[in-house]
Amino acid sequence: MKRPLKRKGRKVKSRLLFTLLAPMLLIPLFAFGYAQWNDTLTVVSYMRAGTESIRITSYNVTYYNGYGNYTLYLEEDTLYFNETNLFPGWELKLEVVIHNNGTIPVNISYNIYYSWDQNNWVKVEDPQDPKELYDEFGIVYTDGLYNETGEPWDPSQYLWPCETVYKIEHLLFDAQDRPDLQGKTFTIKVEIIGTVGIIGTNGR
Amino acid sequence: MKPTNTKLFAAILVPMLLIPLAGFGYAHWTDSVTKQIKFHVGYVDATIKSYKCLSEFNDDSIKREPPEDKVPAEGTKTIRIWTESAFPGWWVWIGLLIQNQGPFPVKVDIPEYNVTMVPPNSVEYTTEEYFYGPYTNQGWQTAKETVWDHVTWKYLKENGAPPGNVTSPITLEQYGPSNEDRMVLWIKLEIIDGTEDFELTIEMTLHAVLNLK
Repeated sequence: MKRPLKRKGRKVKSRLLFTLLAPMLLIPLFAFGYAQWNDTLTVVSYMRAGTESIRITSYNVTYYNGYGNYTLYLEEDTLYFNETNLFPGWELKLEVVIHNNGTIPVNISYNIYYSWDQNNWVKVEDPQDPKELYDEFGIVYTDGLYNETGEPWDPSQYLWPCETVYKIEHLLFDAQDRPDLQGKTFTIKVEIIGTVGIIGTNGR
Repeated sequence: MKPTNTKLFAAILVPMLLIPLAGFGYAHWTDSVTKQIKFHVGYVDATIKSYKCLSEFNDDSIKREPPEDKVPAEGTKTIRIWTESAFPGWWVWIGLLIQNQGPFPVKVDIPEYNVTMVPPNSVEYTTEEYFYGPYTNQGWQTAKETVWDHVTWKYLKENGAPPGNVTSPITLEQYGPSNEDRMVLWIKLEIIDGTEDFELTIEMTLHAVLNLK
């Protein structure tokens, strides 16, 4: 009679002990489980801004019918062409080589400005059709962009780092009926721009 | 006095001598059996089996680790891409082919992003995620072409994400001899605007969480 009672008593004690101990043992197990029961995959992407830079690397007069009274020189980023004796029928073809020496692709575009005094510059509305130059100075201005193989350059495409584009300009002084221009001085400025940005996926 | 001392001495000494004997007796008069239970705890194991890093501004300007064609057969847990030629408008699509190689089903949800910018707030960027799957071996053979093989930067530029994406999370069943559940995640990362000089690090962490029924 005593033994079963004693056993019963032991059972109660061990149950109590188990009830107290088990949760205490499980706490660290749960924490371990929570931390471990997943796996992680990581993609690390690092992006640093590149540098944009275009340069005129060379230039060449491919056609000229004047009297040799011109100067042509490159100063930093600007190519200067000065002609002192313009006459009706004067013509010039100038090739400028533009190189992307930055680390990011750029889009090439340009603006044309003109001035009578080199202080007040007027921007041509449509550089593809600069009729203001004719109206103002009798200059017929046509141009084109070409790649290294002589194919026309699509202005919507990128000029990639280390790539080169050729800009060929043709200027004709068509001023038979413009005697008022005699003795005058004027300047035309072509600004070539390498644009970086939104054109990539959104804008183009 | 003397007999009392002897008795006291005996009274102390005898129990002391008996203690080791009792101990010896106890050791001798017991037996034991052992039940050894061996556990092998399962583990969660998801892996990047293959990946693609596609951009119009590619190859020379984006470095990859490991290179796309050098991902080990068992897969990788981490990939790194970096460029020093980023600019506003720059974009990249990162495609991950994820496989569950563990003995439990797992659930994969939207990545957690950890972003560092130098200088602070110098870059405006966007991220987009597109989930595809889960695919069984057979399902993958059908979907592979559309969501993986034929995806190029040109395709992404013209069409955006491949068709057939699903809402996350995706559950991948446990790995087995005839079951290699996998999924595809395409992430688009685009720089919208930024200062002339910036550094941007985006760490994307994907958790494959145990998904018991």
